[in-house]
Amino acid sequence: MKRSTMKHPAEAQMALFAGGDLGRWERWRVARHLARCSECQHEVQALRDAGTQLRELSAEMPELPNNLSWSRLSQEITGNIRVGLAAGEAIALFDKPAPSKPRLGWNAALVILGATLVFGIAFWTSLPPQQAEHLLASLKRIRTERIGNVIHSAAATPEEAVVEASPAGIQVKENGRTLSLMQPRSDGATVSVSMQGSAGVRFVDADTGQVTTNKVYYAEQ
Amino acid sequence: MSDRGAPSPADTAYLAAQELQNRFISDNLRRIFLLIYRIVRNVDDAQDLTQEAFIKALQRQDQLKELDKAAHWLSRIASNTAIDFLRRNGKVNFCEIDTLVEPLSEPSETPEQAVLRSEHRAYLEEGLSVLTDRERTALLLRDVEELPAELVAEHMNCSKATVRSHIANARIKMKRYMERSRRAAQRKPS
Amino acid sequence: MRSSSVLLASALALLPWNGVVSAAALPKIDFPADSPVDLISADYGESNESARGGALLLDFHAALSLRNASQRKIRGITLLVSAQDVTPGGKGSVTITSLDVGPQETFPVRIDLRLLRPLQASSSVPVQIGLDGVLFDDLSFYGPDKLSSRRTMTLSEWEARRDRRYFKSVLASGGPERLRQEMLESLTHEADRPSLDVQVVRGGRATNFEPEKQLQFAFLRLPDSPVEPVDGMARIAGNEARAPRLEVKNRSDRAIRYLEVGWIVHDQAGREFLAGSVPAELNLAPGQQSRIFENATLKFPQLGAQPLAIESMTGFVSSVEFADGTLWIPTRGDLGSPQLQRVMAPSDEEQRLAQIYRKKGLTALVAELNKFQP
Repeated sequence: MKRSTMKHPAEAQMALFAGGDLGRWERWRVARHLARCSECQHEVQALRDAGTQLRELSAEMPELPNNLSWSRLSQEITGNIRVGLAAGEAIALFDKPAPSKPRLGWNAALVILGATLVFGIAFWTSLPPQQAEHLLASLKRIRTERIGNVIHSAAATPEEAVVEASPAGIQVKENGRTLSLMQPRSDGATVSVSMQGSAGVRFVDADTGQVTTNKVYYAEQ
Repeated sequence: MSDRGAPSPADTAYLAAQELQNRFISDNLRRIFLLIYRIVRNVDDAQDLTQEAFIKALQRQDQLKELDKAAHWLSRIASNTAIDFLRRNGKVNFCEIDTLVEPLSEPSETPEQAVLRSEHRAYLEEGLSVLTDRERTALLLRDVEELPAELVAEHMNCSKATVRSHIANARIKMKRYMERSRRAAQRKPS
Repeated sequence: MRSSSVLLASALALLPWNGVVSAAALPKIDFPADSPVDLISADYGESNESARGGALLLDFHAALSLRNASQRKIRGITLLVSAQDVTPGGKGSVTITSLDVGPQETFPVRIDLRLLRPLQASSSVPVQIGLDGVLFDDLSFYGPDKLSSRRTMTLSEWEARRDRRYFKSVLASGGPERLRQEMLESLTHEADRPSLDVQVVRGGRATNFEPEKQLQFAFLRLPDSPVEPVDGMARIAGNEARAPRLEVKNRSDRAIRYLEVGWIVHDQAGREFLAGSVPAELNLAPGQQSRIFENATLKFPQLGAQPLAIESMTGFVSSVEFADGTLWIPTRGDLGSPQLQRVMAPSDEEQRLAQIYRKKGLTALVAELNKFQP
């Protein structure tokens, strides 16, 4: 859209006017022009409409990845805030200053908090300090995971019976056939196996809050 | 059905304080998440930064002077957190001014398709993607969060004049984008 | 309390499957006529079948709704999931513990199952779902107990009561702040605990080319354990541990019929984790010593860039069942030992409570604790 800069105000000026961002004097000049110029009135209206649309649409939730709903995501965020706050306070309790590292974001902050927290607990349990990395990795894993993939592993020889467990799921394999049990979205998964020939994974179902343990067994002989 | 007798006054007060904290989080969570998300445009990052913002805010509660300003104060912490993040990770210089050029290529999805899907959301995402990081941040802070221009400048650590340029460019681009989409929708064969 | 398969046939909430699955291939859910739980509805909405390179992949998802048709509160349930045509010997189970389901109340159960079988196999009913056991709050039990679910669920219930008692005492003596600290510690320990993929292979000769060596077990002795581990060894080759042999002694004054030994593995890189458990059904009179042997192989996959090389092993008695049906489990004090803290997962109930704290906050956690009477 070509504009003659002599007669009409500049596009940028109109944009600022539309949002109330011009100084008093400029505002008066533009308003005076608008009174006589319907073309520019439309322009300002279009700018204001765009602004209204922007405000309306900004209030909408974006599409969340992995079929996540806002209610699940907000629960997770709230939970992590809670844990993060408690971690901070636990440090205060031990009166150890947090190491002064540059702020790198929440995950790293939690490492710092977590590392110090582990130091604190180490008072009683003599945990080695380097396990702070596990804390970080696992607090990241507290994040909701969509689990649904079959584990791929080295092929068993045909006559072998195998049970296997990983946080993604458990399976029993016999004669080239497989039966797997998988978790729905859940918070944390604990793996366990028994030498008698079973593999299990325990998790807290995120929707129902129920503690569920899936197990697979190979045949006894 | 408590089997340990009535809670002590201290315990009751403690639990009540916890509940207040929960309320503060639940009342503001969605709004703050959206604010941060619009700035950083990534859900995972927005989640991390939202958590960080609330933790910071709740740890600094004693710095909050007036309770009725709590929402604004929280917004400020949130947008600061998001802008800091962009600065650190995106190597965005918030104070250079972009020239107002039209995008060279058409958006990957035609406006007809966008309107056909009647996804206002995609509409907005599309439009916002036309803006640079700094234009988008300035626009969101000014037009959505409705902060006065001086505060926006403070947030972004730029001069007021720079911020005004960002805002002007952003508004023009958004207006043009929406006009283009509307025209394309009208051209749609029925 | 009629048979639930009748209910199933009346197609309450059945949705059509995608893929080539016919109605005859729908799962069979069979609860006996006197079962304390009824199947109210079953939804298989997301199930489908697809062919993949000469094999048939069946993805089976069931959302069941069950109702407590008895007069007692249900604390645990174990469903047996099998596919006789596919894995004749192999089966699965889904167990839910720490339940609090009163008479006539309903609760959900999810089953997500995947079957892989050769294409030419018949398409008859592939999946059967049955009831292995229901545990009530008076610790009575119903069910065929083919999977030893009575013992498993009773152990879990004992642990749940131990832990609820513990957290309630923390709350009573230290107030909510102290309880919160405990929750945080629990979450921290859970986060801190390394988790590992692991395989158990029946029998098994070493499948890697590492030389096999015999390694002795070290033992972590819990002071009040009725069983004392005396001696033990296993054959180790790189990342495989085979054929554990253990010698245990009953130092209590009661006969024992079952025990479980936890197996902690330490690798060359200094990592340590609870690899698995060695269970044993035996008859152990007071003072008697006996041997446990299991002909199976534990295998660990690659752990990051460094392959796992087992360097040493530690065993500890993790549970005991006496002949009269009572149990022994480690106390909270026992669990506080540094090594166990590093490797042991929290009980079912502790994990459930920690999630309640994380998601709903302290007040909700306190309310939950007060709901149970023990």
